[in-house]
Amino acid sequence: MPSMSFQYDPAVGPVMHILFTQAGALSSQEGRTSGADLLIDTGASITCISPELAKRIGLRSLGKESVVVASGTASLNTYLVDMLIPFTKPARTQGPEAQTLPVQNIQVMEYLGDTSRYQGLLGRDIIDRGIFMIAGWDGKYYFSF
Amino acid sequence: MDHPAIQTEVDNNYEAFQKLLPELIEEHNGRFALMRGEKVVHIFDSVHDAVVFAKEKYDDDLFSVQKITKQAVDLGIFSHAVHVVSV
Repeated sequence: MPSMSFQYDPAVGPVMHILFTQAGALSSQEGRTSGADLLIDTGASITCISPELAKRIGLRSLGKESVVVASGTASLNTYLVDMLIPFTKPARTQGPEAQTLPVQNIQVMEYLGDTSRYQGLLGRDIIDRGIFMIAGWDGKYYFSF
Repeated sequence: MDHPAIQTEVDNNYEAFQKLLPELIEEHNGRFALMRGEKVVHIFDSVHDAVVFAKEKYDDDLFSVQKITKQAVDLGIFSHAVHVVSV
């Protein structure tokens, strides 16, 4: 089971750099790939990404979903993506040090929050596939997948 | 196909889907509705199956896929502490 550990900034929370591409692109080896920092959020039931990231990798909106918000509910776009979770830092997809785990055909949602520190949320749809631990005293998080 | 046209298709289909949802839930809860022109074309077990079917059938890329569920997604702090303007 691949695993990784990273330092994190307690002021921000545990952030993971993940590579995204259009769904099907990993199998066909076509399409644009772009990396983004996502906040690991155990409170989020689904992973979400910013519209800017979606545009960078040429995603089209797939549908809409209803999302709980402070004032009730809102409807946000969904996208279908392939993800590469890198188990080396910095993220590499080629060469002998490359170790990435592909996760294909994942439906993610639009993220409309502040993108100054991260461009989306890594939700329980991905977290629940592995083991996630925070060692707050040490300023590190651990993720095994 | 340009994305504004696709977004319009998605938005219109979603409005139509909301009206059809009570009926769809009874028989197809948890499955995925492929929609085109504000109508349900077919129901699939996975979003991937729906997309593969739609991409083969519709050259103009005008379709959307909706999960048949009444449950709203919870995004944790983003849901409960951040004000979101619906787009």
